Amino acid sequence: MKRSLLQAFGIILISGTIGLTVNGLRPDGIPWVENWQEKVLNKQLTGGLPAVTLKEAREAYEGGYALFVDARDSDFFEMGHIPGALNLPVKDFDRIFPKLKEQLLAAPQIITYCDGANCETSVELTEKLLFAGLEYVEIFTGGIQQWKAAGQPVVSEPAGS
Amino acid sequence: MNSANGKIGLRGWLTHPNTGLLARIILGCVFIYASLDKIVHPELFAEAVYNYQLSPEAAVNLVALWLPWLELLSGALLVLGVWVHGSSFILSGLMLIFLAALGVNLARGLDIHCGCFTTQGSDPMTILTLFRDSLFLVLALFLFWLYQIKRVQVKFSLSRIFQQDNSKQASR
Repeated sequence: MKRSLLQAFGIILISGTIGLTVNGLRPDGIPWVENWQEKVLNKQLTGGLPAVTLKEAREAYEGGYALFVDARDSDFFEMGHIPGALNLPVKDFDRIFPKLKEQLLAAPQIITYCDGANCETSVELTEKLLFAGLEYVEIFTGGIQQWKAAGQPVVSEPAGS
Repeated sequence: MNSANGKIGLRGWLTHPNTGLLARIILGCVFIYASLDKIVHPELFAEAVYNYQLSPEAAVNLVALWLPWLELLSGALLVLGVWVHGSSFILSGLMLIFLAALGVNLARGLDIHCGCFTTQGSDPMTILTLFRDSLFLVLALFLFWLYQIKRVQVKFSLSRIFQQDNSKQASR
């Protein structure tokens, strides 16, 4: 029995080490701890489309690896948006998308947002971007309201500047 | 092992090294197969773990990262005949935990997918799942009984093949 327990302990230890190491090395690895309640709520809001929490959006912003895309009309965008974000209003999608396509295709991750949890344009924009063939598109459901409330930077500048 | 008329009885069949080998290959391959999709899609598997509502939220991702590798390693060791005592012990434990989790959630009436072989949601949790997992539990317990209690020789054991190889070299 002692042998079984020792071997079992070894297997548990080795598998845990491999699992965490492989996760750390792969580009789509997941964090060790996550707020699943918020994550599931986000998924319900987005109708099953991939979503990011405020924490994830902030990490992506600070890491500089995500391209933020604002789904609101240009008036709202100019009043204040996440620094570096592109403006792609849903109603002008067909006109503006071709101009931004190269930039969007080059981004390793795209995060769309609109005003907050009650707006649907980021969901519509994400559907359109996924339909256009882009892969890593996620929705920041908290939107600009949650971003500002968390004290994150916002800039006011015209679209395309 | 052989009965008086020269035929092998049920006990003889059960404790025959080939029976153990067959059971090892079946159970090992089941667990190797079950681990692959979970390893490829850690996020989806983590969601399946969360949906079971049995693990603390802080442990969901760690379980999702560790469990598939535990299945893969235990399954592979079982097939290769290495550490069979430990791997059959772990697989028996895992099957008991899985069965308990399935039973609790079936009793709760939760409409979630099993996440047993695929993370994609096409694996509904039913009474049949409970029955299937019970068979795997019986197989795992059988292997533990065979090697730990009956001390039957492990046929086609990679570790023994290496040992024999080394002892041959040493005797030269």
